[in-house]
Amino acid sequence: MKVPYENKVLSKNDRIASDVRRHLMARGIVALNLIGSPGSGKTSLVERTAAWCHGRVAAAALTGDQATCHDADRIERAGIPAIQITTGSECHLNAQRILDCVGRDELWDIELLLIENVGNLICPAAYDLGEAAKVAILSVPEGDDKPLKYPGLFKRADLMVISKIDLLGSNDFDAGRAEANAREVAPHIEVVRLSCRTGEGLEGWTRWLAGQLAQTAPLTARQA
Amino acid sequence: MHELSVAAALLEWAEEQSRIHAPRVLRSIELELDPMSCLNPEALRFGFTALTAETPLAGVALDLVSIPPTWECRLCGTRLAVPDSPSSCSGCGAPLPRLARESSLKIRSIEVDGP
Repeated sequence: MKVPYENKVLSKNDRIASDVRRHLMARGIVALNLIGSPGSGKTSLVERTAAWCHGRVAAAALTGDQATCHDADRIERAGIPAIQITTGSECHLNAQRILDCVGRDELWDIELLLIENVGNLICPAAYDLGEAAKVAILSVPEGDDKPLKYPGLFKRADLMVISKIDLLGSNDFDAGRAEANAREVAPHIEVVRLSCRTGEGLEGWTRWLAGQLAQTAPLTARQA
Repeated sequence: MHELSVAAALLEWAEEQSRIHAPRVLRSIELELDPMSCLNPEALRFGFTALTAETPLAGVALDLVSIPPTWECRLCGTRLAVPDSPSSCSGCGAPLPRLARESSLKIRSIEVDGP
């Protein structure tokens, strides 16, 4: 006898992620899931963002790594509270990790939550964390073909950040080609180019951030 | 890469189903898998077989059906299952829906012995 299940979603992660999303939306928090390779500049971008938030937006960060609290220390020094999530053998963050943190004092009364995922282009893409948007970070040293090689991430990302543009010219990376490759697999994707070292292009990132924050504000007002 | 943990979740669910449908015996599980799920069907099957070996669920078959990925409009939330990125939303016309957030392994049906 066949028993139909009407596409029941198996994943526990998806159910937890929906809870996280509802929770964050009710509190008017915009959460961004930052995904990129180790060394692509995720922490540097969070540091730069922390500086921009100062006096503008109440923000906090969650940062995932297999070991150490180096990143949380760096981010705290940049001026926003940060919680380090050490994942041990896991190569990605999952929604339960975020749910475990959302009630903590550091995340009270914030408007922006930056979630720095474990450095990895593959696995984090498959795990919904309850975020408002996914940001894929691709640095110049990695090569402009990565969107074609790792489409799973770029297809799910809302924004691609091309980081370390101060290194353009040091290898064959062509920023135009990187954008074209990303749009080939993900026509919807928005792109900004920046360097956290020199500050070039950061206004494109902060403009996008401001847009994300503005989208959420009216929603919160409607719910209140 | 996460096939074994997915297989473990599937096993947990299958055990629950076995209890619900007892004394009828669970024979197979029909699953929908889309190419964007980041799951390798063979690895999933291997993990499930390994975990169920020498348990009452040994021999339960996995029937993996390939389906197109689901795309979701970023403005109105309309969902559309087609192989390639749609250029616009079929609901509101907004450009370029994105790939849906949730993972894409879904249970379609199970087969149990008996009436």
